Amino acid sequence: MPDFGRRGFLGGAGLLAGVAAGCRPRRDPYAVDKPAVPVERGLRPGSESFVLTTCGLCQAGCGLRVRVVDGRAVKVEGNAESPVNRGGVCVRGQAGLELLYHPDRIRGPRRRVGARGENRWQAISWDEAIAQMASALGQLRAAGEPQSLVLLDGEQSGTTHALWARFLEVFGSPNHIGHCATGFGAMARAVRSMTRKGCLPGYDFEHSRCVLLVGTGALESSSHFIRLAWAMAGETRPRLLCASPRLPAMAVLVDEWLSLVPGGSASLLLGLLHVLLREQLGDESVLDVASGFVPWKERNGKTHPGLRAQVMTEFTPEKIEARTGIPAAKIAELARELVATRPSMVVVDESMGDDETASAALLVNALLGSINVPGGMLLDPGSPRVDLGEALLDGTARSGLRAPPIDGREGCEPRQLDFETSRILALPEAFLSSKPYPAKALLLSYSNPAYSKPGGRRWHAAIAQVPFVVSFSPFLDESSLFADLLLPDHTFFERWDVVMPGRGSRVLSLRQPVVRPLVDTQQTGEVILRIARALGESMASAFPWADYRQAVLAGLAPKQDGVLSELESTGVWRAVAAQGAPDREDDRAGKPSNEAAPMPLFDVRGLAQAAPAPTVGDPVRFPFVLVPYRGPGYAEGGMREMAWLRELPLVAGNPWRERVEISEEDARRLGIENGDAVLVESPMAQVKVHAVVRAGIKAGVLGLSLGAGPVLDAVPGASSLLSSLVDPATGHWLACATRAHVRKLA
Amino acid sequence: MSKKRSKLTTRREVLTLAAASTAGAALSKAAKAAGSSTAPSSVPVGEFHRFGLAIDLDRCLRCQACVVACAAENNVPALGPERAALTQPIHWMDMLIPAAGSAGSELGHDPVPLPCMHCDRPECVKVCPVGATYVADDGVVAQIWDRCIGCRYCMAVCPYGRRYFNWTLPVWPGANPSSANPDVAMRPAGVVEKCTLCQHRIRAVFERARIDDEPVVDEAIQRLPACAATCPARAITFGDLSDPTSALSKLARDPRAVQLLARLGTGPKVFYLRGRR
Repeated sequence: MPDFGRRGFLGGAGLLAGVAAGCRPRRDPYAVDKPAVPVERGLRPGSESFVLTTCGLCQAGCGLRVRVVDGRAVKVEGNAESPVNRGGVCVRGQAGLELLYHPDRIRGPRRRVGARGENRWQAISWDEAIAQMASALGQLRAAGEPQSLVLLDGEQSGTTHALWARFLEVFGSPNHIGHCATGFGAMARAVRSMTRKGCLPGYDFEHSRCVLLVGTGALESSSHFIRLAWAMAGETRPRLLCASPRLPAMAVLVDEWLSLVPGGSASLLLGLLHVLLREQLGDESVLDVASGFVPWKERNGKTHPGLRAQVMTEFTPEKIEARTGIPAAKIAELARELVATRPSMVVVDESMGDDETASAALLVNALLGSINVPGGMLLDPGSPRVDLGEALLDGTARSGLRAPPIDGREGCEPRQLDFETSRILALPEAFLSSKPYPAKALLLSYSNPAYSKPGGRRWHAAIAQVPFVVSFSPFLDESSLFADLLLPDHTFFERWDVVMPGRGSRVLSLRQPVVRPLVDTQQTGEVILRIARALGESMASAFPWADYRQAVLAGLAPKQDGVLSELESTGVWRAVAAQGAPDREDDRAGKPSNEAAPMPLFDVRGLAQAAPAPTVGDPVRFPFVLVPYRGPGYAEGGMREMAWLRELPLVAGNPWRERVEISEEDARRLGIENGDAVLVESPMAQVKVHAVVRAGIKAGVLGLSLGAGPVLDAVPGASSLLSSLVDPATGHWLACATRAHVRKLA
Repeated sequence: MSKKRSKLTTRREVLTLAAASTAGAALSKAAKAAGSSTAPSSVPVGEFHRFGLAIDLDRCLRCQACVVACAAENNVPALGPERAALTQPIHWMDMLIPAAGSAGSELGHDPVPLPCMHCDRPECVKVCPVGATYVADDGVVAQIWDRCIGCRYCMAVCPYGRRYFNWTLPVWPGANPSSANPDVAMRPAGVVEKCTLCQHRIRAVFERARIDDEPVVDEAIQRLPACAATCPARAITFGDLSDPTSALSKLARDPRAVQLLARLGTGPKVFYLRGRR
């Protein structure tokens, strides 16, 4: 039914109905399409309105103002009231309507009729879909094995996330698994263990004078971009330094590029730490109470030299020169510059950051005195959050929750299903080996692991192993292809929600439907409530809310009057500062309130102990290292069909083909020219892609764009080249650890 | 501004200007004879306004939000996989990407946002055989899609490459055209299209002001075009160059201001600000 929107566009023009009917009629090459004639505003029939809502294309939570004409959303603008984006909208947000009106959206609930992966579906009603899902899940509880339900949840906050957590808890499954192992998990863990705060950092670029970016996420794709943009809008801007194996074409405002050896980021930061300690440049008092800084002893009597000794002996700028590719003198100079131009800070790319890098960045920022100060890293656990209260658990739930989590993580408390510790990359092995127990039902919410996760095709086999799979994706993707039920979610333009951007900004942001749902989709939060009710009294009693909206309002914390009315009038609500008055100016600036004291660190054990990062593949056979990156079109593989994003001018070559970036030096040596077809081979897979020869990339490195592959293509995409090697202690992905070989194809 | 330009005007530019005015006047006559309601201005430089843009390259993060905002506002579809293999996408707001190893432009080697320059003395207007393009009273180099015969002389002559030929009917490869802006006509196949400085938005604001009998203040229009409205770094400023107090006029007088290929005498009304603040 690709003509749905077009027909709507033509409106009630009955005489045109005959022309518009049918599926994509072949156009008569001589037919002339009459252009729509623009009419003066005010004279056009129909209505125009602007609907305030919140973007859903990354975690930043920017306020939007969507222009709606005659029931059609026609343009995205920024909501100037939102302190998150101050009226600006990034490239993704501008392309958002392509998602809403995409002709390939799943048009309603579907049941699989063919074999798995065959892509044959039967349309069913939502009642049938809920009943089928409730019966399948009910059997697991009846059989006393609720733990065999696994949920992959791509959200990390918000009410839907909280409802999922509650659902799994009262169901009795410890397997609420997030994507933190390939994302922000390392940073979340570093913040938790070193500062004992449960939050993710934001960065006050605006008031900073010097920023060292480690990795390029803030420049290309991450939710920190919008805040970096404010800094540029100001009268003065911070000096930007970037340490990364590759510099994206858009990173022209970077004042200095430090061409880093892949995997050398932690060493670089510990080298900076060395200089700060050696020259007594930083505020060492933040480490006064930290365990593991000075020599310490384990319970079993094993002694450790402590972080200080380790950094002073093993991380001298001279020793790490080879590991980082950055001259020793430069490292010392960099450390002195960060001190001389305070407020300064280190910002690591969370999507690629390993544990060591995240912890080292936090340490350097603490020593620079740049935590919770203007121009520094903002750790604000006071951001609004969702609190749905305690739920009563029945016997089945309690016994299920006693089972070990299927991904092998530790420290999982049933009350607080911990999103910093889940190990998504352990799942294929767990599913295929049925250890510690077989997974019998898999729910995919905001998740397309078969496309987006390293390990590639192994996920297909793993998902196929699970007897009952449900996907909530609004689009058919590589993982949904193996599902038994498709329960398509609304796009964010059709949803009602209250969004908590967090990351140092104490705001709530309203998301509301800008148009009526275009197809027969349902908000996943609503579906959770319905399934819980269908699963019987013990589940239903934990979800007493009539609908999703009631659940959102019940869970808002802090609870204050007037939140909803302010949200509805301006689209955003700013948290009231502790003193009792809304601290608007401060809040706009993103300044943390009254927390100027240096941030003490409590635990630095384990840091700087590990051997240099391992790589997968023989260095002789595979002389290159793959450096994956997320471009503007990356989101769990879900933005591949947003054509405007793919055809951006700064995307070199044909934007619909997968590309690998290679340095001019390597390209000359291998006889590769810009646009050539090349075969990239890694120990995991071999994939045909097209070469982009450019200057901003280190020799010996292949830059691999994630999320640029084909949609539902039989040929595996370039992300299948990546190995899913993880840090064994935490399960977090080592992104730059796969070696590869590249050659020109005839 | 006018003082500054007259100082720099070369003999050739004076001649060009004279020629352009003659051509413009001739066109105007022709159009009036044809009974058109949208007659091209008889004066190449706008009588009432001279709208233009300033783009601060020290703020611009090259995120390309302006590129997509422009496409969304003006109903410019993407190509999609099939057509991308055959032709280049249409970007009214594009990025100028100096070729590797080239000397670069006066703006350096980095990519820069590249809208239509809305020249005071545009080459494209001079060569159009049918009067489909003209300098409007407000300084915008406008294009009447229905009048264009697709000869593409304007494309050949524009030194900035800011004009695109519509090889096909608008086809939405990703989304269907439900999100099309009703204020902007979709271009038929076989015509040349270009940036209009969001003329429909300008017109709406000035029309509203006329009805309400209120002046249009500079602060209210600095972010008027879609590219300027979306810019998260506020690098793009819109304004009236005939108002010496406008933010744009001030930026145009800034020592950091550079016009692209100003030596050609086209009088571009887009000012790039470069050099570290």
